[in-house]
Amino acid sequence: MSKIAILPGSTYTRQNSNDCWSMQNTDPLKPGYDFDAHLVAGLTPIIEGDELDYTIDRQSGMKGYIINITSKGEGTIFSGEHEFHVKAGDILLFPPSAAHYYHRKKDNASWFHRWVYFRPRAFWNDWLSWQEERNGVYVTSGLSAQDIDHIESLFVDIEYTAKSDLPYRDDLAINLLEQLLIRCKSVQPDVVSKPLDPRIIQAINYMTQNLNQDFTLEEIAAHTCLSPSRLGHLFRDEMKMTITQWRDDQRISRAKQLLVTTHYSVNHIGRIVGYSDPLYFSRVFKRKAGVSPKLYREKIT
Amino acid sequence: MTVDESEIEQGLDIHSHQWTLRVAEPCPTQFQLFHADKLVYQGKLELINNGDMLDATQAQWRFRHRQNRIEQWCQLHHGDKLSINMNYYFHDNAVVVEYLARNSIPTRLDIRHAITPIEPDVENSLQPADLSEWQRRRHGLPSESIRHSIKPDLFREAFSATQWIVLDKM
Repeated sequence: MSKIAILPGSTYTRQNSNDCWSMQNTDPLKPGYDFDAHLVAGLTPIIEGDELDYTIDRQSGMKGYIINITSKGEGTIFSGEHEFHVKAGDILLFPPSAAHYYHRKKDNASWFHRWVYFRPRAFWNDWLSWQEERNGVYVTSGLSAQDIDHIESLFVDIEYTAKSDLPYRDDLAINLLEQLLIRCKSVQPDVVSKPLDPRIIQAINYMTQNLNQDFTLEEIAAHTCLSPSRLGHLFRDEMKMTITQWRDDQRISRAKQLLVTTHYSVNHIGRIVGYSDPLYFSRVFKRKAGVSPKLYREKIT
Repeated sequence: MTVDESEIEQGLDIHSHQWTLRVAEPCPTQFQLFHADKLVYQGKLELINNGDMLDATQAQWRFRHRQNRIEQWCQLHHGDKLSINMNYYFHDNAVVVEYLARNSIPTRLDIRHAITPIEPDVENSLQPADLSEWQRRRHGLPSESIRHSIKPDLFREAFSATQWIVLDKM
């Protein structure tokens, strides 16, 4: 097995071989491919002794995320104390900062793995963290055969759609990727939990429908037939946050969407999501998003 | 573990109940299926590239034998370079053969075994004897929901399929 180290923005090295790869490569399976796109999808078919049978080693990670599912065979991720193996149906999510080091498992003749490289949209943030993390890489395993079939078929559909000549193929592929990310998030053990108390669902629905209004705790409590104190405690128990925190999260999430999908002014967006005071909107936004609304819009678009 | 020459020549076996599946180096493109030590079925590899049958008997096949699984793989030079991996194991009441391949350029591949009954009196032990759609599945094709708008392109670099041989005497 030869080894190839690919560091973003730098040259690669290949050991134990006299072959030369082209640096302006148009094949994402081979070194030198520039992943300067919002979505690239493919299948890496590794068979023992084949030219693709080498180690991927990107110590600095990539500019975007990679989500990966093992279709057949087995692979090895990392080495030494961080090493672990993946088998058919196991899914990996590499955030941009995570190191990439993986290859076919040495005692298995093949490792076929499907992958999608992508630059996320702002509102995907919640879907891009899973319960189990190993050395900076999220791992999902032990899914049912039905879940695996569904998830792998989404990988296939994304690849076919992105490579098709359909009108709006990029949008369709991104839509399928959103389904894939939501599906992967929804099977996380910490998401698959007991259903919410119906009164909390009522409260959430009320707040969602009146997000741009200046509603009070008493109004929500009256709507759910609970006392304000009882509602506050029940909400914190079920949602692990206060009503105000949840309301602000929803408002800021909606504001992020509007900032990247519309040309509305920051003040107007603040009013749409329920903040009549622009300064207060900017302060809450910065606390939740880490940057001001204006800077957020500039960075994302 | 990768196996030594003498073991391969005698044949690599995996077992389930009274069934034995054997792959041997002298005939690397065939497998044999025994029931209670009687040879009842034989599988012969069919490797079809762009409509032409390729001969894989002369390829340098390699084997790995585990307790419940046999792996077989090679690199075949036929103008292009073709890597092939076949894995055999028993699962539920079937023999499962996985076919994985990669050609150095996109090509229209099909890989399967043609199954031939040897002992007429046990012909019914395989159900059904002929290969129907559900017994063989090509992987990696788009789902029904988009197939009406995206025609599957069968010229691919990678090939993946599974063949199930259902046994009713388990």
